[in-house]
Amino acid sequence: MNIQDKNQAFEKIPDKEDRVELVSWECGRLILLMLLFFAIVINLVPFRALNFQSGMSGYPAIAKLAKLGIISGDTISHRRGLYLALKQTAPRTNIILPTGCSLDIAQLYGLGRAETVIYRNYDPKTIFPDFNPSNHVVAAFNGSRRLGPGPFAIAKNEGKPVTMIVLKRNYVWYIVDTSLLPLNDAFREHQ
Amino acid sequence: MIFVELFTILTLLIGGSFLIRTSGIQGWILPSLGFVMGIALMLILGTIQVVTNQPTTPVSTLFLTLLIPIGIWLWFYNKGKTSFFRIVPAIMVLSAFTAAIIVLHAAKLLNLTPDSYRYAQVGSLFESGNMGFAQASLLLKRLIAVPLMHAPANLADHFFLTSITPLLALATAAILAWFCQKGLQVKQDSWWAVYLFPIAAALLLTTNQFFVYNAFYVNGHILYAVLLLLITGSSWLYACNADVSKTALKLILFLTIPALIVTRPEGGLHVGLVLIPVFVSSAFPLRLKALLSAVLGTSILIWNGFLWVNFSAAGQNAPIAVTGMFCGGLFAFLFIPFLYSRLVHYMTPRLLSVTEIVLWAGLVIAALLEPKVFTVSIHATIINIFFGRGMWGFSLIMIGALFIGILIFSNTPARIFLRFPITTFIPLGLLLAHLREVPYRASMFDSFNRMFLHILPLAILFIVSSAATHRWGFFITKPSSKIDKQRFEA
Repeated sequence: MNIQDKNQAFEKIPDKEDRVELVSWECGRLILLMLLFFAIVINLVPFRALNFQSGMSGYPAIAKLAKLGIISGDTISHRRGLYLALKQTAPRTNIILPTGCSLDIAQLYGLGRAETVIYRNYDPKTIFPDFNPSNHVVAAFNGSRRLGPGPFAIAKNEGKPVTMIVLKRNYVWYIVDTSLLPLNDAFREHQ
Repeated sequence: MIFVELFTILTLLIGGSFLIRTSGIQGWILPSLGFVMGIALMLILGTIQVVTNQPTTPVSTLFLTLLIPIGIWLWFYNKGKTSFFRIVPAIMVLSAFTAAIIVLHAAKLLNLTPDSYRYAQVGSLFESGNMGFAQASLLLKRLIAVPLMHAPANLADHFFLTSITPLLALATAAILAWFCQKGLQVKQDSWWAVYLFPIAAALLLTTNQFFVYNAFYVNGHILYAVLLLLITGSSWLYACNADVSKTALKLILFLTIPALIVTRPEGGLHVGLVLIPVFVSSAFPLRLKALLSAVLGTSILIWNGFLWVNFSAAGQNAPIAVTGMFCGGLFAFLFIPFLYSRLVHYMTPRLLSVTEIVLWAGLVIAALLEPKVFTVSIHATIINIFFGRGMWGFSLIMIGALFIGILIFSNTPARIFLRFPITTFIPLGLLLAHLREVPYRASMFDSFNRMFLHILPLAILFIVSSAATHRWGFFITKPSSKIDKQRFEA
């Protein structure tokens, strides 16, 4: 027997004598149809562990059926909230990071929607001696949650991309609009 | 935002519909199939943009997705080999899609998890032309398909298209019903069976709560499920000699294979596995088998080669998964001359049984080497499926019972094309836990639990296809000859 015959056999259905008939063809497919509709009913039976709404609200990591763009502390883990806040509050900004900063550039471009991200060798303490978070903070994050009531009044200066810098003090990230800060001349020229 | 969403979805619908229409598909399935084919074409074009380091923007990807099919259609139209769409149905379909997009956009129903933000990140990098900043490890895990689907949302300063996944889920149900109908028409002569069974299949899928959850979930499970369904369903219809244009079935295979490979990390391995019945079947011409192998090999090599280069550029060694898949892609190419050699005579249906035995044996060996991974994974899977933690309720149990019953008591032509991907799924899924060296967990967000969704439409198609069986019963005679044995294996 050649390969062609073998394969044709593989695709044929068995002969009648291969089987003991349990029910007729018509009866069989009617039973199958009834079983299918029974399975559909089973799908619709309220099942505690399956409850769509409670399943979603009961698990903190599940984002909810929510308005797009709402940032939830439950949904956003770790620093992702910072990047998403950047996207929401300061889209297309130029971001200056201190050299050695551990922020993820791919996330700043991706989730943060930054226009450009550059590293500068600067020490926040010398550049911003008068830095006062209560006056200047645009957005501050500790882990996943935004801290303080700081207004998100950035990226609104005539539609032009603003320059943001990122600071980290006492384990809190600050995203600061440079136009709001008394920058020293050296840094301003460096921009 | 609504305009971006309308533009994106309608572009995919129109582009895909022109393409699939040119290949000979007509009737009620055209919009659903066209929409999925549009997505598959966009994924291929977007991937080419990424791997060739071209400027990336969804605008160019979408325009190419629209213009290439229209160009192909015009070429065939001028030759008189295809016809124009009927105006009234076309307007009705466009209106229905527009209304659905507006409603879904207004509803803003989205399920988001941390994974979704990873996809959003890559999509945003694609749109802003910053793919160079995407780490290789991120691309290895998230790949490019889901980010490409949602990337156009960034044009309106959003991350996600709210309507694309729900529409894809509806298209999946429609395509499942179409496969059922076309498959049953081969052997069924009762009009009610040809209509009722497909409707039951679509209802069984769309009433599944895990499916509904995923219809609004920003992840790639629905996309993976529909692409897998298209590959296996098209192979099945082709082998059955169903009343469907073979050019269309071939086109579906050529487009869905690369798209699936860039959807999930296990995509290449899975496609290779589900194509084995195609390679051993005589229903497929040798040239088509060689072309399918070439498409498979090229897609795997291009994507994994791209990852390899990215890892090297970052000064890292490529993980074993990338190297392994790269070798798999090379094997797919080496398989082509094998098809034309005398060795092809060893390609018998027995190879399917051998493959299943190898997978189970591999799992046994892996379980002996890493018993903890195996036992924890099995325990978690049982809790997920049988005790409701996986959010499947009774649905998987019911479908599993139907599947086993039908496997025993019925037989339909060429159903091996549908059965093989399902029965190999369990050992393959459990082996993946050993390959990643992390056991599965008891949660609805466990990878294996979510992967069951990939074969759900296929399992329903398998169950419904048995309505065409000509005899309900069980075997009594032992096969005496080789040919009989092969019948039993089928």
